[in-house]
Amino acid sequence: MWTYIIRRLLAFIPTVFIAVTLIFILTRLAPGNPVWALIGDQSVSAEKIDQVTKELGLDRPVLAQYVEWLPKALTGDLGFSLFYKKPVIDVILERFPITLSIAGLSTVLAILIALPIGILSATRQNSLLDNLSMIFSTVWISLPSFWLGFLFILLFSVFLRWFPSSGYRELSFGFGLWASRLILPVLALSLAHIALLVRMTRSSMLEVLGNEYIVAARAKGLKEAKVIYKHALRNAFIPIVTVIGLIFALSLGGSVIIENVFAIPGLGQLVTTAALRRDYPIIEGGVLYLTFISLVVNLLVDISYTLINPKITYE
Amino acid sequence: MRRLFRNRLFFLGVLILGPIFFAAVAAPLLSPFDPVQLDTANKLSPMSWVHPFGTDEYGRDLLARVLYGSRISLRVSAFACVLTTILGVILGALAGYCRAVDAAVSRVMDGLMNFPGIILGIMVIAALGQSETNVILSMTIMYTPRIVRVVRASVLEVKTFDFVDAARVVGIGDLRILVGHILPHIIAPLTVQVTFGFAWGILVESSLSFLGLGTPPPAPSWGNIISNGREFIRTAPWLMVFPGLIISATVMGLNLMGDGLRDILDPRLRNTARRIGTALE
Amino acid sequence: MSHPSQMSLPESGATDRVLELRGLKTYLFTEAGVVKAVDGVDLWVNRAEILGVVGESGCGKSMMARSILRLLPPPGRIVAGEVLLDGQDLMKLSDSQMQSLRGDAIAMVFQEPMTSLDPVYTAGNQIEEVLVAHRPGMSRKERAERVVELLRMVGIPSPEQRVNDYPHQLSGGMRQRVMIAIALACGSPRLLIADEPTTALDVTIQAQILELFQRLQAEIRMSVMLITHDLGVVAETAERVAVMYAGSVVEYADVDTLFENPRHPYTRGLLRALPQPGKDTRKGLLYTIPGVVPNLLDLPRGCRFFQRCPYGDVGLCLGAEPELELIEAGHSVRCSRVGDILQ
Repeated sequence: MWTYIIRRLLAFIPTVFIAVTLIFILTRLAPGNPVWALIGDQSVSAEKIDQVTKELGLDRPVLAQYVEWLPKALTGDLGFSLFYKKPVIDVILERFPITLSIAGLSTVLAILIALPIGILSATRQNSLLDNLSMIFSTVWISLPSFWLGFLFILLFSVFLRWFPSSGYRELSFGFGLWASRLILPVLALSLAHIALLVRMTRSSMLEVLGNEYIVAARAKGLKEAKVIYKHALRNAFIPIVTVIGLIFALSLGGSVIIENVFAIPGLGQLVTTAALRRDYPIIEGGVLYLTFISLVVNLLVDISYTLINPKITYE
Repeated sequence: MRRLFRNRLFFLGVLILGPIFFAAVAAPLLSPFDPVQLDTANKLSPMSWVHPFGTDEYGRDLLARVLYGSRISLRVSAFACVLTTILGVILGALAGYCRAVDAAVSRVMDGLMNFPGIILGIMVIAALGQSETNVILSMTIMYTPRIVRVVRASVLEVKTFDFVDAARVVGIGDLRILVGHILPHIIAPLTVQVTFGFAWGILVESSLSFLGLGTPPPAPSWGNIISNGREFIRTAPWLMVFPGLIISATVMGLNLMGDGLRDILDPRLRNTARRIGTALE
Repeated sequence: MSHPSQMSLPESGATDRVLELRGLKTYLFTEAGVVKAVDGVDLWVNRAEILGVVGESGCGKSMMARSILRLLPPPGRIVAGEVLLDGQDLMKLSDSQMQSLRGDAIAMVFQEPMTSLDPVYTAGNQIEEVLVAHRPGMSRKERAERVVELLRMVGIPSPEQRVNDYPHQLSGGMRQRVMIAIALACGSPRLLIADEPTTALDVTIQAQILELFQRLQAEIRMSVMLITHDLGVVAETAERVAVMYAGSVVEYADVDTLFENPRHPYTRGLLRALPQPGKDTRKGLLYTIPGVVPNLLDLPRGCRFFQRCPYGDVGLCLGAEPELELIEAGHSVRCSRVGDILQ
């Protein structure tokens, strides 16, 4: 088992490397001198532009820039933001926990709701529950999350007045305040993912339930619950946990949108605003962070495979 | 082919998508209003016979805007699909056929897929600027890895079949083998994936537009309409409800079509038949 | 002619039947139609006896086995008949009552040990869970000891190490032995149903497994229903044989009689198709029964074997389906022309 884990960790490194390089390439794709964007509308002299360019090292050949930038990026020195007047890393770290908690809560919610429904759908195939959940999941997958967010705001904030429609309060202000502002965004974000996970759980369980060892387990006289939860679920779990990892990544990406809808000052909102303003250091840093977290979660998912199915170590 | 229409999912999808598609094409004929025509006297009026979807803050008829918006969204997604297919097939086929290419291509594709959600798209737009073309480009960059994966898997599978070796022995060149023998096998999974891609594209385009990073205003892209309607959520909620409804319907129609196609074209997913077969032994 | 189930074997005194099937009908209700997988089967297994059930793929033997345990896949349902275990009708039992019988009183061994063992749990765990389910009084230590003892009983070397092995780490023969250990876990099953237990194994292992069955039969008076398509296995191991075709039993005899004096045209065809060492088989082709098994969705009226039968007579064989008739002691045949067919 440990060789598998070590191999996965080793494979992780080049993956991070490639992601980081891609980020570098994509942010440098912009035509023209990014200094224009940084300086903004102020009319500046050509010398000033040259000076800033030299300061930021943007006049150097791209490869040299890359070599300089890479170690800094990997160790957390992501530059300085002219818009926020702070090191990029500080800006990111302020907002990062917020996004992480939204994505995390959304994923947990998806697991708690979708797994039982998926399992029950599979074990009671073609029942009312099954048909309903399949119809609902087809519908929910198709709804844009931002629209859903606004519908929730309309229903729960405007008409029912149960929850506030925007903003964020830290946990230190009290659980109630914190939670009431997160319920709607997390729900809007997770609905489509719940649908996805229900489908995946159901199909994975169905496939496993058709296997001979399930019949053999019943032939031993084991209680049905044991057959389903001890044998079927564990064998079905690998695709399920893969989708869970996928959902987390989707939640991170989706929080970009949801934070916008609910005016939550998270990392997603940061990146969007930075994109509109061409604040490249922030874009770079923010995307790096989000991608890195996503990669770490995928690594954990990978490692979990060997815990779920011992056979995997030998492949 | 006939089975295609007998499949309930596919049919339902076409039923939903058909009118929307038709409406997009026939937009000028269906609405007497110009989507950008201002009519401030009538601004923010709710649903009525004259304005079935109501009007926005400039008095523009919402239905007209949504109709014209469908052209934009469908067009953008369609172009992105075409580009993705071309690029994806070429890269995927090469990767599947030739190990050396595979190493490089797969790595890069996996790298691209690691970016969560639409972050990749945001980055590209931030770099290249906001325009319809750039939206298409960024969507292409985002979705191509998935197509490459599907094509590559198909090619790898078919490559092992004996008739490929047979063809080589007879002396048919690699390129011809690729095009003539292997490519026909990828059409089925490819079609399914592209259909879902089209649906995905609509969602992405509207999400990007909503954030202000998509098709530039004043073009009535669905996402733009919703974004504009934000401030009026309490006073004129229809401004957001209707466009979103249409987006959802379009995406659902496409998803249903994709599901239906997958049921028909991928025989391995026919679980029931298989299980009865083995049970009879 | 009397009904075969009313007659006893001449050799034993009273009938002591562990299992008896009367008129069992199991149908599969599929989208394409009703598949009559088991259509009126009567047979029984005596105590401490090995009954061979022979037939081609698709003849319904597996469905019959699953019906006994009431473990049918969803489109399948038992529509008629009785399944008597020591006189008790299993059809009338509740689910939990059936559960307590499965793995304890009736055990089943499956064809493909690789797919019949859960790949994510160790062999020891999968044997132990039978004990957990049926013997709640046992302590963990007692269970662990019993598992090792079982592995030893079925002939697995170094059982203490094998306990912690996963199925993919074991060879085919060992996996099958583990399956048998699972079947025996609770001590002495009254009936062991073995569904093609040796088909997936090579010949040497096959011999060992069959020998194991016979040893258990002698040691603990276990009855076995041995389902197979391989006549060689039946000849070696079984005492009585039921030949199945297209969902019903067509011939029923003790093993010697079946091989020396087969009376149903299908059985005769099967035996003829066996390569005979000694005879000059280099000339000509091996005999095969012409035609294919009928589609169970659309069974012909009358005798199901008619289309492939060299003795088929339109007048006698089409019309009503022939009954299973006792033609001599312990030997029943389902054929309208049985009297006319000369040896």
